[in-house]
Amino acid sequence: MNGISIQNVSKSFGKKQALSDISLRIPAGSIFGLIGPSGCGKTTLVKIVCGLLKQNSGQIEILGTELPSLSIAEKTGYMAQSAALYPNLTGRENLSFFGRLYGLTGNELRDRISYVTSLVGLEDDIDIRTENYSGGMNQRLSLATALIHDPAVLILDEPTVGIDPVLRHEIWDELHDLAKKGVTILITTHVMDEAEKCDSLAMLRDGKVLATGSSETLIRKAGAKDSEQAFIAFGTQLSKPHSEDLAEHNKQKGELK
Amino acid sequence: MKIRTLALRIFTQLRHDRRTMALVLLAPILVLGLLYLVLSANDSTSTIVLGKAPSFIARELKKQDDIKLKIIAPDGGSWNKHEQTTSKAALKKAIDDNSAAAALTMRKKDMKVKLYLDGSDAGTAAKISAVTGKILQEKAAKSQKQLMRQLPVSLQTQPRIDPSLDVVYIYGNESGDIFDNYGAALIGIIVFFFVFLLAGINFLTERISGTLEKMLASPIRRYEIVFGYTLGFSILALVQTALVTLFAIYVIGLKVAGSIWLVFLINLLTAICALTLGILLSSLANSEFQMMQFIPVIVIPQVFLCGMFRLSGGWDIAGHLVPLYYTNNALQDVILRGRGLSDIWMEVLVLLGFSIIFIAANITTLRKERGW
Ligand SMILES: Nc1ncnc2c1ncn2[C@@H]1O[C@H](COP(=O)(O)OP(=O)(O)OP(=O)(O)O)[C@@H](O)[C@H]1O
Ligand SMILES: [Mg+2]
Repeated sequence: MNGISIQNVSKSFGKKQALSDISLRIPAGSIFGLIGPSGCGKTTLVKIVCGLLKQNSGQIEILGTELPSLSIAEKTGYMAQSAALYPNLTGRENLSFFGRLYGLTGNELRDRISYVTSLVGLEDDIDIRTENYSGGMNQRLSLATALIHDPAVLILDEPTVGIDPVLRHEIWDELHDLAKKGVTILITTHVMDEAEKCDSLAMLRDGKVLATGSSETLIRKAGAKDSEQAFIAFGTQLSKPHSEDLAEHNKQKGELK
Repeated sequence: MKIRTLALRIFTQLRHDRRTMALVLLAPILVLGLLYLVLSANDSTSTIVLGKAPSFIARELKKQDDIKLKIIAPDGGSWNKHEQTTSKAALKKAIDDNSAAAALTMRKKDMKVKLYLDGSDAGTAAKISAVTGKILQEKAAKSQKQLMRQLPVSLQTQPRIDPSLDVVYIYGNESGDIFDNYGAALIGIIVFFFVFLLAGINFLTERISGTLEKMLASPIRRYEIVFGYTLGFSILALVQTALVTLFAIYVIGLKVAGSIWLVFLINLLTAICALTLGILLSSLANSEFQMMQFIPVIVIPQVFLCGMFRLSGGWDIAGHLVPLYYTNNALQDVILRGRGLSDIWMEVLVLLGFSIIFIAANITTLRKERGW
C-alpha cells in the first residue's frame, strides 16, 4: 500500500509557481527524502501533504484516503521547519497540549510523554519553560511533539537542524525503527549524509521533480562522485553545464583547504 | 474536549506569564482609579434655570464661590427680564434645552422653594442643592431677626419663605457623583480595551510562531479553536470584570442602582465581543506593533461613539454600529437608572449578535489558514 501518494500536484502563490505537476509515490513503512536548493518548494509540498495548504490542482492520498481528512490528520505527525512551541510553557506542558489535541489522555499521555522525552534526550529539562531552551533543545522538543501520538505517517521538515551528531545518530536510528514498524516518513533535508539514510529521494528544483530514486541512483544520474556533488549538479543544472560547475566546486573546495 | 484543552492551555500560559496577568488584572483598576481622581475634580461653570423664584436667591447664588453658576430664564434669556414659568414640565424642558444642571422655582401657595436637579452630573447637582439650602436657611434666620425687631411691619410686607428646600431629581439621584456618570461607560471601555488587545496579541503570536499551524495540522476542527480561545479568554475576562466592577463599587464608591449580576453579564458579553474581534483583526496584523495600530482605529473611535459624550446628529447614528454603544447603554441603564433585564434585552441581544458574527468570521478566516 502507498503510505503517501502525490498525483500531479501544482501550487502557485499569486504569479509564483511554487510546485508544478509533482507526482510521487511513497510506500508505507519507508523513509522518503525531499532534497533540493533553498526555495525549491520542499516546505510547500510538505504543507500540502499535511493539509495546511491547498494545492491548486492534483490530489494527495495518505494511507489510501484522499485529503483533506480529519481522520488522516489524526494519524499524521508534523514537525515544522521552525520549532513551533509555546515559550512560556514547560516542555511537558507543550507535549501534553499537543498530545491532548490528538486525543491522548491520562496514563497513555503520561507514558507517551516520557517515551518521546527520552527519545530526544530531554529528560532533565522537560519541566523547564521552553523559553530557556537552546535552539537544539527546541528542535528536539518539536520533534517530540510530532511523535507524541505515535503517528502512522510522519512528516518532518528539516528535523535535525541544530541537533548534535550523537543525538542525530540516535534520532535516525529511531526513525529507522519506526519505519520498520510500518510508519511512513517524509523528510526534507539539506544534509547529504542524511539523504543517504533515506530509502529513496526526490530531487526538487524550482518546484519540479528533477530525479527520484535511492541516493546511489541520483549520484549515478548526475554523473557525480558523491551525493553532495550530485546535489550541486542537480541544483545548478540547466543554468550551466554541470561538469564545468563541478570543476568550479572542486576548485573552491581546494581553495578553502 | 479539545475546546477545554485549548482553554486550559491559555490558562496555564497566563498563569506562567505574571506580567501579562498583572497587566490584565491590575492595569484596568489603575486606569479606573486615575480616571476617578481626574473626573471627581470639576470646576466648570454650570447653568441654573430660574423659574418663579425670589430674586435674592439669584443674587446669593451668584455670590457663591463654591460653585460657578450662570443663571438664566426658562427660555434661555436673562433671568430677570422675562416672563417666568413654574410648571415642572416647562422647567424640565428648560433644563434639557439649555443643558442646565438645575432649575429653581417657588410654589406661591406655601412659598416653598423647589429645586429640580439633573443628577446625571451628580457632583454639580449635589453642590447646587447644598448651596441653595444654605441660602434659604440664612435668609430665614435673617427674616426671623427682623420679625423680632419690627413685628407689625414685617408681618404684612415680608414674604415668609419656607426655609426647607424641596429637592426633586429629574435624572439620577443624590447619592452619585460625577464619576457615576462616566464610570458606567468606563467600565465597559476598559474591559473591551484590555481583552481586545490581550486576545488579539495572543492569537497573533500563535500565528507568527507557527503554533497555530501546528494546531491546524492536528485533527482539531476550526470551530474548536475559536471556541477554545473564546472560552479561555472569557474566563479571564470574567475575573477581570469581577475585579473591575468590585473595585468600582467598593473602593471608588460607584452606586449601582440595578443588579450587579446584570453588570457582570453585560461586561462578559462585551469581553466576548472584544476578544472575538481581537482574534479576527489579528489575522490582518503581521506583528504586535501592527496589532497596537488597531487601538486608534478600533478602540478609540468606539470610546467617542459609545454615547459617553453627547454627539451631534449623524454621529449619534454612527454609534449604533459599534459594540461599545450597546455596552454603554445597557450599563447606564443598570447602574444609573436601576433598570432590569426587561429593559436591556435589546442591548444584550445586539452584543451577542456581534460576538456570533465575529466568531463565524473567525471560523471562516481559519479556513484560509488551513487550506480547507
Ligand atoms: N505563503 C507564500 N506566499 C508566497 N510565496 C511563497 C509562500 N510560501 C512559499 N512561497 C514561495 O514558494 C517557493 C518555495 O518555498 P518553500 O518554502 O517551499 O521552499 P523550501 O524548499 O522549503 O526552501 P528552504 O530549503 O529554504 O526551506 C519560494 O520561492 C517561496 O518564496
Ligand atoms: Mg523549507
